[in-house]
Amino acid sequence: MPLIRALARATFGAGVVSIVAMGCGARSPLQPCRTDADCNSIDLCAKFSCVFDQKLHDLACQIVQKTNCDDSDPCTTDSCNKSTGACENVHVSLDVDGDGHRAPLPDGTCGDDCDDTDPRAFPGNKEVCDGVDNDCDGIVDNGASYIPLANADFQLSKPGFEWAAPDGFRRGSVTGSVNLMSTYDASQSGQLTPFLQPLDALGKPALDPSILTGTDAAGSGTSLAWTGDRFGISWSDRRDGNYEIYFALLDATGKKMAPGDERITVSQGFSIYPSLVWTGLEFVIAWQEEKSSGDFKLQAQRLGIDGRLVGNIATLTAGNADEQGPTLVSGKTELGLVWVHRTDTLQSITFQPFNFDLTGLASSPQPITLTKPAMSAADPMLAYDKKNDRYIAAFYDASPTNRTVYGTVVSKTGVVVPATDIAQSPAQSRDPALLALGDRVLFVYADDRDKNSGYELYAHTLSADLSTDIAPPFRVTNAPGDSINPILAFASNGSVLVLFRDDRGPQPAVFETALQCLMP
Amino acid sequence: MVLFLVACGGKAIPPDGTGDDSGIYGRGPDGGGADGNGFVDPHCPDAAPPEVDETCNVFTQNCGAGEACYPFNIPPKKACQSEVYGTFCAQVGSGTQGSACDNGAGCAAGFVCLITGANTSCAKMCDLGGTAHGCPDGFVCEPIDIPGFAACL
Repeated sequence: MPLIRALARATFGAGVVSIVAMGCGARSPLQPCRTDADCNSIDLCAKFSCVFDQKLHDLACQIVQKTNCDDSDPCTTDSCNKSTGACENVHVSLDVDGDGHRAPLPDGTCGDDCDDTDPRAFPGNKEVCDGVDNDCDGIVDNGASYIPLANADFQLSKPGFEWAAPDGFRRGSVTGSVNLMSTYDASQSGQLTPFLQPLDALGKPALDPSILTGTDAAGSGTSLAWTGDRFGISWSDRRDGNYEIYFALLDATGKKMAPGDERITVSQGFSIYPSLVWTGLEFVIAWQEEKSSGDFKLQAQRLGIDGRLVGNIATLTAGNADEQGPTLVSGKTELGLVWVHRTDTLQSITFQPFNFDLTGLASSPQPITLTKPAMSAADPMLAYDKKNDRYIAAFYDASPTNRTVYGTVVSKTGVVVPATDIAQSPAQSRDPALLALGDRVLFVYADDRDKNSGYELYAHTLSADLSTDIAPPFRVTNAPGDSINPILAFASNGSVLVLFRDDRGPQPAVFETALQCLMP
Repeated sequence: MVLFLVACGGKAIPPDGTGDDSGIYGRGPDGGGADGNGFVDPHCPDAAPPEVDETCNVFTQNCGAGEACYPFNIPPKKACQSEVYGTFCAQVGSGTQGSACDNGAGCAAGFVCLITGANTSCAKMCDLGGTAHGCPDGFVCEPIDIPGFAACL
């Protein structure tokens, strides 16, 4: 049965033969005839006969049989081509990545592809190490473990900067020479500049880095999103007198596309720390916007795939508290947002889901606090657990002598797993990054348990509910000096690539290392 | 991660203390968007490097009595103009690591008021390229949005 029925009419000669006779609509004049041959039609979707019409008291062409194109598939729109008489049964869902499986409609029907931007993911496919849920069971690289590779570290940022620090890391095109995009901020000749560094499928530089902005004003804080054929990137810079949020489209190689830099905010205060996602239909940027009091509120803007604004800027937070550091993630049917909520007496991490149109969810109208009362929490990160349709957040308690990384699980309606110490460190830990893998979660964070003249990166894999060690914490980096600020993305071979700031050299620089994927 | 320097009301403070955030594009109401706001990407491939105006030293704190040395920046007032950044002497505050500061003032000598993405607070300034950056245990020396300056976080 077709989902959508168009008003069907059959043309006959110069006139119109209504299918009133079939039971609908207003009558139209009938074509007079003497024999069936007079009823030869250009509408090959119906069979006409010359029969006596009671009301005309004369012979007229009337439909005696229509081609039935109903294929009994609820996921097709069915019609008959009048020129050829052939049935056309058009699927209402698409197979964009060409893997033979269609993306489901928003209600979950008419498709079974769990990721229609990636041809490596479809039901029945074999699970391999590639950072993809190949068989669409909700689990990425089922059973795989991750081990540090010897001598995998290399400096990604160009030498000669006064400093460089990682900012964004996103997997993009499956094909082509560029498969991942990374960004970092650097100070070069006294100028604070964001750089784009395209990487190949294994995370090695594919092209020379390029400067994101062409102005003399400081820019930083880039956030990347991939649509399937292009990147979106958002950042803040002060080319216009104070910090505003900007957005641009990049092709798969990192080249800016039309319309170039778009300024999103026009405000008197600072607009900083943007977080960008692709929902499958639109981009959404969330950022912190300064109020006249000097405190911040959180705002967001939707944009189409062509970069055009969709709707107006939405304010996501209410009240007089100071709201900072938003991290936005796209879930199946909504957006998840975490941020730092600060009052005179507490600094907590807060979660709230929003509809894709940035309105609040009726089922979750109030923010959900993820932290314990005594914490002074910072640096919230968020990942969507597709298998369980919930979110995993990580942050650290920034209390001066007790820095500890925590993880927590939250659904649209409330906390599922309270804040849990996931570093399990006898020393201090901070700067969490995470990947939700369906049945488990990989955390990477800075930890100074080894007292190696600064923080080193550690990795820890836990079950999806954070209750069970899948792989206990192990050390990822070994160089002297701080190794901090990790950002994660999958290579094509399933290795987890880690961008981080490293102070082993004379100046802080961006390094990359890898955790190898091992299947059981 | 880059930390953002707070100045008076969130605006950059020039050494004379007269913050001016007037830009070339005009200002819409808070909450405006890019459509129709007149923004044209200026493109400044030949922009001059920032101007540096350092009148004091944030580590030696060589200002007069009752004053302390703080960093500042002045963003471009016209497209493709240079930024100006450096240091200036201002009335000393009392805020130390983690103390709230909301208008660019209030931090003690050797500390600077920053927007960290978690809060707006004083942070001890440190030497990002130095072998001993001087941050307390557990803190790291993070760059701020003024070249050559960093703070413990």
